[in-house]
Amino acid sequence: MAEKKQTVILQTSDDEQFTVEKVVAERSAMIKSMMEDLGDQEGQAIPLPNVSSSVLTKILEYCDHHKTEPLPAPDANDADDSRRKTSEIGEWDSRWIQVDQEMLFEIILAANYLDIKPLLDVGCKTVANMIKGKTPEEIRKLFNITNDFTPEEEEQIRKENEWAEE
Amino acid sequence: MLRLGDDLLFGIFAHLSVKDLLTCSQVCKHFNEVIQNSPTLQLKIHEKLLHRPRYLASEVPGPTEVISAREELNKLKRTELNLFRMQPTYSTFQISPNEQIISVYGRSFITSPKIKQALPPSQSYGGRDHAPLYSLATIWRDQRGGNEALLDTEIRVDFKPIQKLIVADLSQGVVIVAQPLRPGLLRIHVYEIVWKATTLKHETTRSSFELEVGIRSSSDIPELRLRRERRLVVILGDRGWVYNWKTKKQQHELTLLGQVQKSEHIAFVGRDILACVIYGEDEETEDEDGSENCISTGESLVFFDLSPSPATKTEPILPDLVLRCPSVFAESPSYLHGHLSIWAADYESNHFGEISLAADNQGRSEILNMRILLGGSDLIEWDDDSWISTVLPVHCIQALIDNATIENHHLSGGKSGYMELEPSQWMKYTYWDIDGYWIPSPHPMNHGLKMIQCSLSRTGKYLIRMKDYNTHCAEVDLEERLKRLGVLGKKNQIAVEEKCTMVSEAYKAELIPPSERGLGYRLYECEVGLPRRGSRNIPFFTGDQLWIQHLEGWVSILDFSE
Repeated sequence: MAEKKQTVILQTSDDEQFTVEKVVAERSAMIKSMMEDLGDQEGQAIPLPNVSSSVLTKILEYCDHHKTEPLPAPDANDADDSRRKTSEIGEWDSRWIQVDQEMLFEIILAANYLDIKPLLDVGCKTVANMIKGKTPEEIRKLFNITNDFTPEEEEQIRKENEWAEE
Repeated sequence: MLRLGDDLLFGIFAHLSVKDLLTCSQVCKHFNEVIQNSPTLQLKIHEKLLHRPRYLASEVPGPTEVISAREELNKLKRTELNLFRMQPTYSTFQISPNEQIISVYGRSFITSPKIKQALPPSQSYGGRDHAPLYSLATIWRDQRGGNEALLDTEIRVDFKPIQKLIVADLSQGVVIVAQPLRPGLLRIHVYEIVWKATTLKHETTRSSFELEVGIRSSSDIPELRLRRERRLVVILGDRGWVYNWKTKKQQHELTLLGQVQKSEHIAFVGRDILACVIYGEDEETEDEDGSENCISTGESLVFFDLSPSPATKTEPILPDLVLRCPSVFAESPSYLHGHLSIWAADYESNHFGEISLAADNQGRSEILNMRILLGGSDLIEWDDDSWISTVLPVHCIQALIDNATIENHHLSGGKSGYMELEPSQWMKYTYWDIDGYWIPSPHPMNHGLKMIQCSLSRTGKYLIRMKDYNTHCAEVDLEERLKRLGVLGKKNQIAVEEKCTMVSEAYKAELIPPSERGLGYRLYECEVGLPRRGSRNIPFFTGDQLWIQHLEGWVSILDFSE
């Protein structure tokens, strides 16, 4: 009985069920609060309609690795500041996040949805690192973005930026 | 990448250096918007600018230091404003990032989103699924509050983000919110606010009517103005309509009084004069090789008098004064005690111009002064010497007047005289009004005999200039100016000189009528605000106050009332 309490069932968008250690699942503030809401309802699967099984597998890997770390304060606004200040990604994390772009964005979206702040951070930093030092054209190419500026607008922004960069 | 939504993009951008941020703003419109709209990112960019020496170094002694927005505001409150003896009452307060200040016809409002209930988690990412209602609250500045503005809520009107608040004229007890229904059709929600003495409360009744206007999209909302006696002016792009608006038992009836079409700029001059620049007829000719040439026959500046009078109440509004002028004269007309000044800016070629007209309510008019600044390719890179304006086209005025015929209040025919002048004929002039980037809005504010303008200086701060016409200091200037005006009236040179002496004498005693007083003034100027790129938060005048929004939600109010 005591053992059962330590797990939780998560159901992904493609209807796959994952039985996960509670301490792992709790890395997600969203799941944590859902578990609190559900209380002791045994065997009740928590639906995650925005997360696919492949992404969840990947994220659970992360959660499992970090399960012993203290949870960030639930409503820490100043977390925003400290996040921005440290731009280093941990060694394990940086290896773990070496995925294709599609997966990376899926992870970010899921981390946002599941409310896993440190993971969201790792994701955002990873994308930021991809952008660093590149030219606008290189960034467009990297993320497959269409340049929707008219040449005049582009010139205007370029000029404004030159001014700021002096 | 774009599917991440604004919040997550911000999360990514927050990790970038200023240099990379600026690069990202060049990638696509969406990135640019996210960066421009984020106070945090903007502050990050501008913190860097604060390190740089200021343009007006002499006015801010000592080494430049990095200071917080609050300190900066206090500092300028203490020093800069006093330095220039403009001395408006200065107050600052902070609004939250969710709130927005809007100005509608002389009043300021704070809109704040009200989220009615917590949304389920599945809707909570991306920040786009919230459906806040916006609440409108009038702001009253508490005089007892000293430097800190106290806000008091008087009336609240809820509206949705898709609807746009466009008119709030509490003197007429009306707030109008527009909502685009479909192309060509606008729903106008009318909130009428009545003070009920029995309950000691404001009561709001709500009704709506539909207005057929050529809108193309949901963001294509026309500008609406409510004038005295319920004349509703609708301005959409290059067209304008004036309606008589009657309401009986919440039924609305609109009668079209007049309309303007193909007008480049429409703006109000004072309270009741509508000024607009009307395009000339385009004449298309075909060259021998078949290519089409389009020749414009010029543009006219037309003034419509909307002031209510029994005789003209129901008749179509006809132009009172038509002045043909080249296209550079187009913007920011303002009206000061019988003197109409029109500032114009052509941003593509950086031409600036100013025309002063004297007009009285009998329909007589006279061109007093006209100045033009021909700009270079990039204003910011100009040094001080070349910045000084190059041109005072006295000959232009001469030509304009000589060729003009004034008949039935219509002044026309001056254009050709102006256009044919050679640059060598232009006189050099050492004074000009506009420094740095000219902010397309707001129009200069008139307060009694003071005219206050706001532009964006080269440091990115707001440059405020006040011309005080009610001053004794300008006799020399006045005389000079009157002599210059002598060019206009050389038919009777002696008379003009006499007038000149007489006026400056009378000026001292302040006996001359306001219509002849506008020529001399004292100029004050100061810079306020934090460096700010872009023109997102354009300062605006409401009544006697200039509202400036700084970064981090700080709002300053400069109160010029006496």
